Amino acid sequence: MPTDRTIDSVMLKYLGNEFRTVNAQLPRIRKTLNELLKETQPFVLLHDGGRHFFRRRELDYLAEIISSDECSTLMLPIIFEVGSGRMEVIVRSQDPTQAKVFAAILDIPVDSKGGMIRISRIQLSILRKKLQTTTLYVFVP
Amino acid sequence: MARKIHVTRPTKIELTRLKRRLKLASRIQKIVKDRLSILIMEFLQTVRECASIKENLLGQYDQAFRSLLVTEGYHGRALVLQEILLARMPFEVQYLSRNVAGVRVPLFELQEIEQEKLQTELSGCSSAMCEKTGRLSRKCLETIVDLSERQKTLELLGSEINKVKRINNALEYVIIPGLEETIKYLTMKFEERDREEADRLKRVKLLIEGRQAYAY
Repeated sequence: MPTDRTIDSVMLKYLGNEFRTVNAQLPRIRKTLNELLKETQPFVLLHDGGRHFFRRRELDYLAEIISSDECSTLMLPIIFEVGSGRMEVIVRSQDPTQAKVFAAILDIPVDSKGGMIRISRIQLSILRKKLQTTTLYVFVP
Repeated sequence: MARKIHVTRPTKIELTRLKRRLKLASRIQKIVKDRLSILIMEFLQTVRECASIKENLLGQYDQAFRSLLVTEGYHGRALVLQEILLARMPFEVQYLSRNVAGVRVPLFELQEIEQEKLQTELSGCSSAMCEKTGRLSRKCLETIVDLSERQKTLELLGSEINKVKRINNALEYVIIPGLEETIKYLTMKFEERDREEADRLKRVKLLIEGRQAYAY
């Protein structure tokens, strides 16, 4: 089960040098969907000391989309990497569950190439509409 | 016209430091611009949601009011008033927070109160009309909570957009041009110094050559 209690490698990249301040809203640790479903008030701690709460309705929705096995591998919140000058956002993950979630919401096949899922800005707004609390942004230059 | 940043000592170290600052400022500006575009996207989305919720709420109000009038007409005003006074909040509103591109916005979660659930439906009155009115008013209440969350989010996102815009403008029109201007000034100063140095060396060379020729 990927419930690592340390900062995962995906986020470690975003927290180097000056970007630590810009990306202070990143979670300290991510939790699996299963873990969050068990909590009465599901939340994650952020680097700026705050808490990011999840909407129960969204968690239930995600649990409906994916199988129970995948619930224990899907790390939340899902992080959208926003890069400058790019017309798309990137989701870095080795786990195919996120691609499955996006495919179900967007109703189109979404594939992960080299551990990266590319999403256009138009699709991003659709995803954000459905997953308001289960996704977060990270900014890279 | 960009203003020149005051440089205490026009040295090469200072120039390197300024170049590093310029690079960092440009990178930060790119991030700020991205953040601004994301915040605007979120703001517009929230505006659209707000509009649709408001429209929805107006429809619900209309239905609830009609139902209340019918109930009042059937049971009498006194009974309906009594039921309204007896009714309790059907749920608790939990004030939580979520993060949208670095902005902490509210998240209202409704939590059912099980034991009091029955009291929320106009309890003394068991007619279908009373129940329907109770159900419709509860729906309205839920939508109001939802709307208030969006409205507050809108307000917070709006003020953050203003802040980020100001930062972006400061970087774009003051800091980066200022740094560029200073770098240009220092570069020109060093070039001038180099030219003077080369000129001086030439003069010295000529002087030495002249002396050597005179010596012979």
